[in-house]
Amino acid sequence: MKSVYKILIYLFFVASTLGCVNLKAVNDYSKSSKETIQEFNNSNILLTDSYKHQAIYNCMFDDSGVIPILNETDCYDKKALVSYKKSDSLISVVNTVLEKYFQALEEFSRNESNSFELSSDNIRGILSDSTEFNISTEKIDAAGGLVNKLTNAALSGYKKQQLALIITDTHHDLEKVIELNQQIMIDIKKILSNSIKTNGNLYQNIYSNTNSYAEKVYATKSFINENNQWNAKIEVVEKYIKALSEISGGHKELFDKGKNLKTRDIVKYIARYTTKISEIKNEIRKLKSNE
Amino acid sequence: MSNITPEQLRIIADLLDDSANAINRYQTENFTNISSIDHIRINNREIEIMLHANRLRVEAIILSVENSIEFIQGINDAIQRIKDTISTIESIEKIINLATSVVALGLSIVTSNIDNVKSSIDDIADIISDDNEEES
Repeated sequence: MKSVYKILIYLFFVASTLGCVNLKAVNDYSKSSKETIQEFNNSNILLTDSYKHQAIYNCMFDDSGVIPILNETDCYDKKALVSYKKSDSLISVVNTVLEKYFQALEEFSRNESNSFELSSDNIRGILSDSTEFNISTEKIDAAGGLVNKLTNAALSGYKKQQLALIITDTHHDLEKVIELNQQIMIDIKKILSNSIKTNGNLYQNIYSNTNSYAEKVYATKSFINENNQWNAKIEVVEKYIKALSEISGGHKELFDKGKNLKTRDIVKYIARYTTKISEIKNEIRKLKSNE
Repeated sequence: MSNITPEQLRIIADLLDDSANAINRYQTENFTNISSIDHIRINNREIEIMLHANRLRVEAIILSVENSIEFIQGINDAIQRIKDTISTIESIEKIINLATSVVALGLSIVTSNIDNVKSSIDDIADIISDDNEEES
């Protein structure tokens, strides 16, 4: 019986050291990455809104200084509107794919989701059948616990191996998509900055064409409020660009060192990225609440 | 438009923005010398230039995403692979549970323990029916 225990303990240690990717570290990293991408996806930054705002402001004063009576939709260029809507959809696709990838990684690296619990009644039933075996209750409990630990360690080892493979195989594509997304965010930032400038142009037109003090005050307040809203959106985009760099850095760390480093080192390295990503996520959340 | 790359579109957009900024700087520096009607005209032109710049950026976004479909698909495939592996692990757990129940059934038959035979058969039936329900 002692030798059986020795074999079980040996197998347990072998299984628990299989693969080098630490599940908890990957889980924390994936969860904070997913939540940060979700924060951006829920921030409702739409280029179509920015276009409508600029297009309406562009047709508020004609060149003779008259405010033409127009339907809002008359201000839009239909082809441009189609392009803006299409780009919003594509941006949403890119970010949703990223979100789903980290969600899948999070679910896969979650220990509890696949935590194996061998039907304890069965194992105890087998070992405690007193007609064939004479094993004490303590030993039965110990054996039952060990079998569960061994199976969980083996599953965890399998998971670690699979995770390392998936991360290795996906890394190149992920890097490319994150680079693409960062460039898109830079474009969005520039487009939103032009909304602020357009707001300034319109304010100038209204201010110089208004004689009443009350109207000037109203125009100034509207100008400041709108600028604040656009600035908050730009800040969200800036934070998100930083978050994408950290997400990419974390994945690179797993890709580069996942196969060579000891678990303890991976935890240390990946935790730095996880912390930074979480900090940025909280900053984005704060900015959104101020919008 | 099909021969222009997203990078070229972005360069042109930046140049348009630079020209709008240059006009704005001139306008600010000569603010008092410009009549209010000319201010309106200049502001309208600035907005139009920025609208053109933004439109080019939007086209650059569309083109760059379309050019990256292969990488996006790669991530999509990885998501599916993770889901498949999770299903595999769940199947392994079920098989281990099923094997344990079968061992218990065999042992109960050997030891002629009728109560345990019944209980083991119930366990096996439960595991198999869970599996069938999921498949259907």
